[in-house]
Amino acid sequence: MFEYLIFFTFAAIAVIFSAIVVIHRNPVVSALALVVSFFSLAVMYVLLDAPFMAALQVIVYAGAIMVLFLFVIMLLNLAHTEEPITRPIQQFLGITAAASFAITIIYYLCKAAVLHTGGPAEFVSDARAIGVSMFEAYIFPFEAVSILLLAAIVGALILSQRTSAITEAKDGGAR
Amino acid sequence: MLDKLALIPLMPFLGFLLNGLFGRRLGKTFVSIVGVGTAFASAILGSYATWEYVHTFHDGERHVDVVYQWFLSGGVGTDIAFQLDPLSIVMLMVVTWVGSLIHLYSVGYMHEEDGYFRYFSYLNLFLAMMLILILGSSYLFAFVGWEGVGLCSYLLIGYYYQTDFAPAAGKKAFVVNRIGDFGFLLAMFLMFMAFGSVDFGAVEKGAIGVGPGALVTGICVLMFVGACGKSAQMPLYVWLPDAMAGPTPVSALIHAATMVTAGVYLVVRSNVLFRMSPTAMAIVAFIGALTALFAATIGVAQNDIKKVLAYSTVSQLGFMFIAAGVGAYVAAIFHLVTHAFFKACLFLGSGSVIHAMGGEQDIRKMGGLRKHIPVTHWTFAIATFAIAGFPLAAGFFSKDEILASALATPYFASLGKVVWAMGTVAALFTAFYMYRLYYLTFAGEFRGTHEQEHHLHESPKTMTIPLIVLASLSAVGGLIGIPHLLGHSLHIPHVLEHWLEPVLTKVAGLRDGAFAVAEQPEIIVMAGSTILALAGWWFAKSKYATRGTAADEAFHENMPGLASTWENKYWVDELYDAIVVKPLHGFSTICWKVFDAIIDGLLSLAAYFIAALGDIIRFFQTGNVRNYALMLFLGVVVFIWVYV
Amino acid sequence: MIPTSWFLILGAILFSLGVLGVLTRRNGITIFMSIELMVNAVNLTFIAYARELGSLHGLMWVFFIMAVAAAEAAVGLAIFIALYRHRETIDVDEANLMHW
Repeated sequence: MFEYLIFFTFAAIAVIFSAIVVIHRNPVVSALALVVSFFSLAVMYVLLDAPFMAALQVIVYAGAIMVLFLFVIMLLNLAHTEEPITRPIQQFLGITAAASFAITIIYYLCKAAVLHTGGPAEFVSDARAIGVSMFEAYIFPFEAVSILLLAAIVGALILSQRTSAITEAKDGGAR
Repeated sequence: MLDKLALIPLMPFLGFLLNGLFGRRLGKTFVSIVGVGTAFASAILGSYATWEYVHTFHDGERHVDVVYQWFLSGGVGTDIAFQLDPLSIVMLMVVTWVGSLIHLYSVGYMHEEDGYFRYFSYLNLFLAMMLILILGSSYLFAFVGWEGVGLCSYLLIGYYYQTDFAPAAGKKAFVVNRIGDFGFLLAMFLMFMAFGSVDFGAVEKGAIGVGPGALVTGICVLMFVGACGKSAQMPLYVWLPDAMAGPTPVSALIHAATMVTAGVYLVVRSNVLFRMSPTAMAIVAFIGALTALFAATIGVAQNDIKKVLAYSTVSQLGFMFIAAGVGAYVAAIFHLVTHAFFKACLFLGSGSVIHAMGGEQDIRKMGGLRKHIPVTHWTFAIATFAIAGFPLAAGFFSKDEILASALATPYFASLGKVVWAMGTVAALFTAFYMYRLYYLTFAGEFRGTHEQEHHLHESPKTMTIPLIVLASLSAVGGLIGIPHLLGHSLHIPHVLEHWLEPVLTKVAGLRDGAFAVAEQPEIIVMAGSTILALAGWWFAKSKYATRGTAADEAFHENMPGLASTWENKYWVDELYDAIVVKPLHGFSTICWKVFDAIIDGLLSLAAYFIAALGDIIRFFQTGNVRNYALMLFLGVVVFIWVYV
Repeated sequence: MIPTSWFLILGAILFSLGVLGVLTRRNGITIFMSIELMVNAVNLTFIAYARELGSLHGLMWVFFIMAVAAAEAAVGLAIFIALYRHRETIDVDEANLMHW
């Protein structure tokens, strides 16, 4: 029963704070709400017998990525810029689409409901099991992702330069 | 060497690639060395292969060297394979050695021309294709060479592409050849259908298995249509005189010595099929005789030195087809070989004359060139004697063999006599127009301008050496086929007949490919043609030796109808223009005007619908990313509802 | 044990909220946060199925999704910085040069 209590509590927190992320007009508030939402998702992971993923969720998402978001919001000084109102037709269509999407997915999930877990008793997902899997079966995707991250760092650097490398090269050529 | 026959055509092909790709950069010396070198290389390789063949096979077997399988489709397939047998070897020797000499000659003749590298790359490609044609071991592979030489012929006729007439002549040659190729293709389809193969040996076996009948006759007639196109027989001969628009060495190599004889080669190669079908043979012989006579009469009234030789070529090819048609295949190949010698020599000689005259080709403006260009004169004279059938020269033996065979043919009695009569008259005309050409060009007084006379000079060594070699061959080339009449008493065998015997496969129930001509008709024919050759000579000499063009003018005055008929080539070009080209043109115009409107209209309508649809759809391309996302999610929803 | 379906339904709700944010907001950063929300909803689904099936593959996917999301966040935010420098705004409706 205790499990269910935790589940519903944090599910409610996740949904409410996610709604705040989407609805609140101040991006700083949105970002902070998103952090709360991520934390509650980490709790869900613990409930799903994946404590290592919960740790990663907190470190990578709530830690690294959200700091990046907040940093950019501060950098662009967005907390004080007023976001223009979305056109009513867009608003209507967006809500309709999102609602129909939610209804569709939940309808089909309920239809094919898995109301009891039939999985094997021992679902080992500790750091050791994940490490063995990662460095044996998934070694190639792992390396590919590391290259992707490197490329992302370089790309982000070039994109956010004050004067881009290309224009500089052009200016240099002109001079 | 026998397992590397592919090297023989590969050599000039290599030259084609080198000259074609790099010739422009590397200069004339390089182009000459590559062009002439690869030609001689293939001649030497070919001779070496022949030597090995002679030492390996003693009964003239067919040696096939398969390179790889070309294609195989549902049990029907063909190989890329080269073959060597006595017939191929004769052709190989003629093509490579005469071709090499003409390559050498071209170095001198074409030296001042722009696009020197282009000329040599085409010429090398031609040699490669011709070798594929004669060494290919199946009709289909030979057809590759057949089309290839057609292409090179087209390219080289249109060599002077800045002029109006040369590209037009090239186009004409190509189109007329296509008609013939169509026949050849149909013949091959029939072979595929009936025998499941186009390999020479397999087709021969298949035909023997099927036996005489409509099928074999059909194949033979269709194949002869192809031969008519390539070898300029009636009614498809019209392209060859126009082909003289190309450079003179090209006329010598392609349009006299080698390519145009491909049709004769094809008929002789298929001799088993033809022997099964007297109908097809009769057609071949009659068309040949008609062409020989027809072209010879036109040759009498032409004034362009190359045109005379062109009609002479058409006429001589007619003689070869007479031989092939009456079943004297050895005589056909014999005449092919001697003709390659003397006609190449004549064309190269005319090239030398044109060279000396600074581009002038009208024999009415020549005359008296004897003392200015002696080497050219003597070689030209020897070749003239050879073609006119002067006793003991090359053309004498081969032409006699043809006429005697026509008279003695066992295939059809009365038609043979008709063909013989037509051939004899053609031979008389041949002697006459050749001596006319010779006297108008070399004898009498010079009739050109003073500048031309001042300019007259003998050609360089690269041009005169091939002339001398070819003239010697014209003089003694007849010795490979001494007639039995003389051979018996002198104990000299008919070398060529002996050599070609294995090709003319003996088939039960069919007449042999070679038949003996009784001595009596041979004496008559020989005496007759000697008299004719001398008569033609005497007549031409009396008319043209001293008085220049006066005789022509008298002929025009006395018989204006005949003279203008011959001079205008029986108005055949005009006739074709009226009955083929004009109606086709009109029909095309109708198609263009009417069908174009309908088809284009339909297409425009379709395009208009698409454009209208695009006008509607583009409203969705708002450029607003969120709208695209909206579409995406709605699409997912619809997808789930429809498919899950 | 909590039934897997409940986690799936929670994931569906969070995903739909993300969709709502993407479709109705104009602020680029907020849209981006909504996308992160959707990514996390998918992660939850993956882990739920991983437990259901007793397999580690789902977890591996989540790991790689996190790595890609980190890369995406870095590049995406850099793009918004560049956009802001050029147009003084991160309103995505202003960035509509792709329209006809």
